[in-house]
Amino acid sequence: MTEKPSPDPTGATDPRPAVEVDVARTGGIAGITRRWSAQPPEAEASEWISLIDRCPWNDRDATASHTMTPDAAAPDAVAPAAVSPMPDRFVWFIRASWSGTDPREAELPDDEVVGAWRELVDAVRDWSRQTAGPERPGR
Amino acid sequence: MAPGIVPPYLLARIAAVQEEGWARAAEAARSTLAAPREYRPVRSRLRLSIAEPGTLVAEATPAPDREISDAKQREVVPGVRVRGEDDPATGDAAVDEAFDGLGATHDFWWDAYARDSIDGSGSSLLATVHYGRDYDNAFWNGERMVFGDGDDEVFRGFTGSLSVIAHELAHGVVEDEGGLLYRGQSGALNESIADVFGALAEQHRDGQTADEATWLIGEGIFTDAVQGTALRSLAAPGTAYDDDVLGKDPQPAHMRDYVETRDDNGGVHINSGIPNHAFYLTATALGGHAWERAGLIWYRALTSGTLPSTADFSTFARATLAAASAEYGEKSEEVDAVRAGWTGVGVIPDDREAQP
Repeated sequence: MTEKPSPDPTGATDPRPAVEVDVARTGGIAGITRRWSAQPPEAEASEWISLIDRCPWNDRDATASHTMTPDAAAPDAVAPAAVSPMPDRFVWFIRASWSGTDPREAELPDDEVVGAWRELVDAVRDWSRQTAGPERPGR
Repeated sequence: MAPGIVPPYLLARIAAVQEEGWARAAEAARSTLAAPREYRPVRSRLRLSIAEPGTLVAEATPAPDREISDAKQREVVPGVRVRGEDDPATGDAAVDEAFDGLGATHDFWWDAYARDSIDGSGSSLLATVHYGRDYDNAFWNGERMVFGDGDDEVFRGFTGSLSVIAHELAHGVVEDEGGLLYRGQSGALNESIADVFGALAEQHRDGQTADEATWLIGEGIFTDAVQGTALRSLAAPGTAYDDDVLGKDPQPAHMRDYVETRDDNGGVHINSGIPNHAFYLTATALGGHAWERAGLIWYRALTSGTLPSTADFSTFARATLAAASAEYGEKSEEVDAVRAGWTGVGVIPDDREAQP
């Protein structure tokens, strides 16, 4: 990585990152939240946007799944444990935004972070490791 | 005591002994031999000990039925079966630690509460190790315990800590007893009960009293790079780690510091610090082996059959008071200790006499 990301992506000065993806992994037996973020430059944007577009955001609208009383509307009656989340499993929050669009958000149990979601999460973690060196503080 | 499998011919010889001092042993051996076979094989073992000079005591106790599988670094369960109950050690540390940990946990539940395995009827204890690549977690999936290897950056693995293994198994016990919805306060109670019995299993293995115990969960699972001793502390929630990368242990020890968050199913691993500390206060007030009185009260509350799956902290506090009254009497020191435990963390108001 030659281009350094802007330290403050919300700062008024350009260049704003073309795309920003934030990932938070919460829960687990340790209950320790870890956060990763990728702010790839313009040149990589289309690659990232196509990856983001392959994720099934509409099935996992964060606001829908967050009003969590196991709503009758939940279409994908997941495994038997769906009534109560599985003890000690991770819960992931993923947020993606780029210029000119509304941010997309999803809340996912660990066993649903597969396929495109998994590719996106891995890409963000790799990006964040390569640019920030050791893993970012988890707050 | 190491589990031993006594062959029938030895049982028969003990059963046949005529000497007076051996009467109890002989009878135990006879009843072991005569025990009816159930529809599925139930493992048991004979424990022999000398009660007083000349008296050999033999008792049949249930034995665990363990099965460890290897996910071979894929995120798939169960994986390949690598060790069953009668198999020797494999030399794979994670496999053998999980096997030994499940055995110690089984012994704890039986010795302390006469509970035979997760469901109380000798269910198999299933575990999968080497789950995923650099996988930083251990969890209960509803039927088995699943252990990642850790990433060697933060976690060195999860099977090395008995409190972690027993924590996972306790989630199975909670589920078998009707469950506690894994969100908000009922979720934090689910977590706390897993921590309490995780800590107690370790204290039981090490023969520690409440004063001698560390009251830590997951001691030794962090790498040396992490500034911290364990995942959680029941004695002092919020002090288990304070690290540059991981941040500080966020657990509160009192209701006034209850954390409202969207993370972690509403902070189930955070707010569990409050009921965890109530247990610690109760156990240290009573002294001695914490699993004997404080632990029994918590166990009775969990298994009363009246605890709703949406119980909040105060519902569970009342259940423990009722259990203590039933077990030891309304005016007992046990009831006082339980009440002081819950008032100490702000779940039961100080001024009101809580209804048992």
